[in-house]
Amino acid sequence: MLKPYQGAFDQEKAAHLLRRACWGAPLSEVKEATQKGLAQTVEDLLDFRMNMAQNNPFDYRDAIKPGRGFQLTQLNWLFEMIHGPQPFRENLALMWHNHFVVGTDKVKSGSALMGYLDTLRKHALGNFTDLALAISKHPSMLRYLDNDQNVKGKPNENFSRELLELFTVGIGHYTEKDIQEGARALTGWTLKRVGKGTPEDGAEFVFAKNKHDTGSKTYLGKTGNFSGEDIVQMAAGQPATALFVSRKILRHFVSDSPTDADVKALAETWQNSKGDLRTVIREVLLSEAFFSQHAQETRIKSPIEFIVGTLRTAQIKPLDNDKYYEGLLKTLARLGQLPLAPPDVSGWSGGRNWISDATLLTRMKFAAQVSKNIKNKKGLHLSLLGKENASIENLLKDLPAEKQAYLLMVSPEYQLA
Amino acid sequence: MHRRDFLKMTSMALAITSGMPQFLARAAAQARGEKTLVVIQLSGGNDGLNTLIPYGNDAYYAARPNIAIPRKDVLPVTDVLGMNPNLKAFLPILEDNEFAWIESVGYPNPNRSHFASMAIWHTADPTGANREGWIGRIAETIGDPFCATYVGDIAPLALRSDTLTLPVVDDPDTYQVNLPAGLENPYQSMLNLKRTGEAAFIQQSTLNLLKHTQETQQNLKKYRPGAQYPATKFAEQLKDLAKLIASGQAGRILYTSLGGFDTHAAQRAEQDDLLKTLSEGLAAFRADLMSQGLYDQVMVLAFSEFGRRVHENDSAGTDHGKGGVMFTFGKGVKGGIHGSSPDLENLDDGDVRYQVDFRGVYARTLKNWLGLDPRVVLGKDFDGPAFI
Repeated sequence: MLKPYQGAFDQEKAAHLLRRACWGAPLSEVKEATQKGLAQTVEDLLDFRMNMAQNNPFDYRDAIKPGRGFQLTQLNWLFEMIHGPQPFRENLALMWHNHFVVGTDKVKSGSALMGYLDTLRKHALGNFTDLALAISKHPSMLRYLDNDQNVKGKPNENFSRELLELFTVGIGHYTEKDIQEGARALTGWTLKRVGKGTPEDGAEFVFAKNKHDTGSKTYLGKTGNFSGEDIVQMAAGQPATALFVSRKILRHFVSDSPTDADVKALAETWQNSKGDLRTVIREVLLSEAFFSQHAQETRIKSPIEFIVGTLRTAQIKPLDNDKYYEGLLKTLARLGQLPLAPPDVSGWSGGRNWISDATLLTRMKFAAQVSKNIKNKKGLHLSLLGKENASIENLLKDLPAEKQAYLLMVSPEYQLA
Repeated sequence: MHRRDFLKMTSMALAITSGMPQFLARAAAQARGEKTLVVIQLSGGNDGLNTLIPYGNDAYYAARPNIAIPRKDVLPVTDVLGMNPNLKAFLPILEDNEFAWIESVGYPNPNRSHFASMAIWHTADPTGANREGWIGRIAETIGDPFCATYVGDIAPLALRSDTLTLPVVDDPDTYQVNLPAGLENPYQSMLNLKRTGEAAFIQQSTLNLLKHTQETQQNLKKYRPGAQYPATKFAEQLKDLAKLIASGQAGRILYTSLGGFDTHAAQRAEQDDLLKTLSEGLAAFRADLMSQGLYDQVMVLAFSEFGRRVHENDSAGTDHGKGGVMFTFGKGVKGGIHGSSPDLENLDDGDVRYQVDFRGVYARTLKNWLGLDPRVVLGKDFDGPAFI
């Protein structure tokens, strides 16, 4: 179990929690959190609902050209992140998207991607095995890793490999033979195609019994006539999975380089709760590790944290301007994190990879654009940097709000989450 | 600004922030060589057998009833080996005897994971213990963070160094810092505050950026394209490489990538398109460099993290394999086929066996092209085929 945080929950700590969990918040929300206290603030976060942003202008069903559907879903999600009532839920969906990766290079259907996102939201704080199973059977995943074409005789190993390497146990905890045998068990999991769109468009999961290999398989040390469900459940339930995914959760919320002791402690909670994600994530948000100095200074903001967090902190109201959101999507692409389009099935690797000449320049341009709308100096430093920094404040104090905001947003400190 | 002043400023800036490296002082002396190496990364595991085709081998056709390239379509290189027809744009380079294929390339204990295998190529370390890239280590060895540039958005591990941040340019034309008016001084002061940890890393990256963009913008104006590039993103990137070379901003190594080679299903259409994009882009790049009189100083080297299984799967694709092909071209290259052709009757768990260690290819390139000591970069001695 991770050591619980015992210190005071002051404005700096509240700002930190809201930056990590909700991509930032204006000063009023920081104050509200300190009044509620840490325990209640976290319970309120975990009690998320399925309510969505009002008047989201982007809907894949409005696509006239076939290629537009998935872009509308990307825009819909971005709008939800910026203006939606449940940023923590969307942040968790993003974390699971970066784990159970699918991407628009192969899944070119708004309906499939929207369904995928809803599945991530629904299971984000549920049981890990349920999440793994729901995503594995989702049309977007069946298409993305070719399991829709995995048939007995000459199986397609793509999904079976990534299930072990990236989604569950991780490298070092399986053999090439496990991949081959897992692929056999997963034969027959495919799509029931509808209409004339891409194969996954509007499709549903179907088990094609006549394409399933019914022979005996040996998988992760056990032998039997395993089904696809058995394989996913066996992989998801391994102790190595608890460690592998705990590390990922700590990377998302705590540090680019979590300590082995913290990973082990969290995996223990995972095992005790049988992969109950609400228990695991609650423990992270209430931990000493989460509020430690190490956590505050070692995590580089992802592009989504940078863009969405800045807009949320600056309380930008929804704009009736589709081009504006399309522009934001292009900016995210240039920064290396276009939602629903990770570079490959391992997702975004994060950390120092986010920082390069090209991305620093793009971050500066975005800061110049947003800071123009900031007119109020009050609480600027706390809400942007998450803590007081006397040396920066002294340097900038005589400048008008928008110029202070710009220089804060291009500071090395602001590139950290 | 002259290069020497520029390097002096950079090393001063770095020294202020992190008490930094001795070797930057040495940088001015040996900053940039005469030669440029262009590395092309083909991400996703390019199927070598459908790239350089053993069309004289019946085992190839037996293993791939649906996706084999028919004999009549192959572009013959020898009596038994030929190129995918989508590589037609490479033919003139082959005819000039400046295009080399290297066969059955890999490393000991091959790994079929994209990410583990790519990391091994990037670090030149099959044990996976090294977290620095081979090009990052070159930068450290010669003490110049600007000796290599990645063209694209996120640099691969190959260019990572523990102590230096290597430049990444996504578009040379917009590669410049534009501060809002009047903020130059407060920006400098804010940037120069003392920092530690990741904030210091970002501070150092920003200082590098400021110096490098300034120099690049001064030099870029020298470029006029000397060839028509195809309308692909990859060709645009190659044009950016040519621009950096023509303006003297290239450094010793330029690096870019082309993704999408993860062809598990319906492989033919996907890989054919990619090979066409690859060859037509590179042919235009070569023509451009020739017309500028810069071709003699450039060598191109392409790799992928692994090849594919010999037998096709049931979805007309191929799964992850082991040995693969590399290619290289340039004035200094000895054209033709190097290494040994895969023995399709003697496979390694269904895969082409590796016969040439890629570190031998790196070693030859480092020594014979870049004039660097391969041992310093690769940790020990390797020898590769004599393609250069």
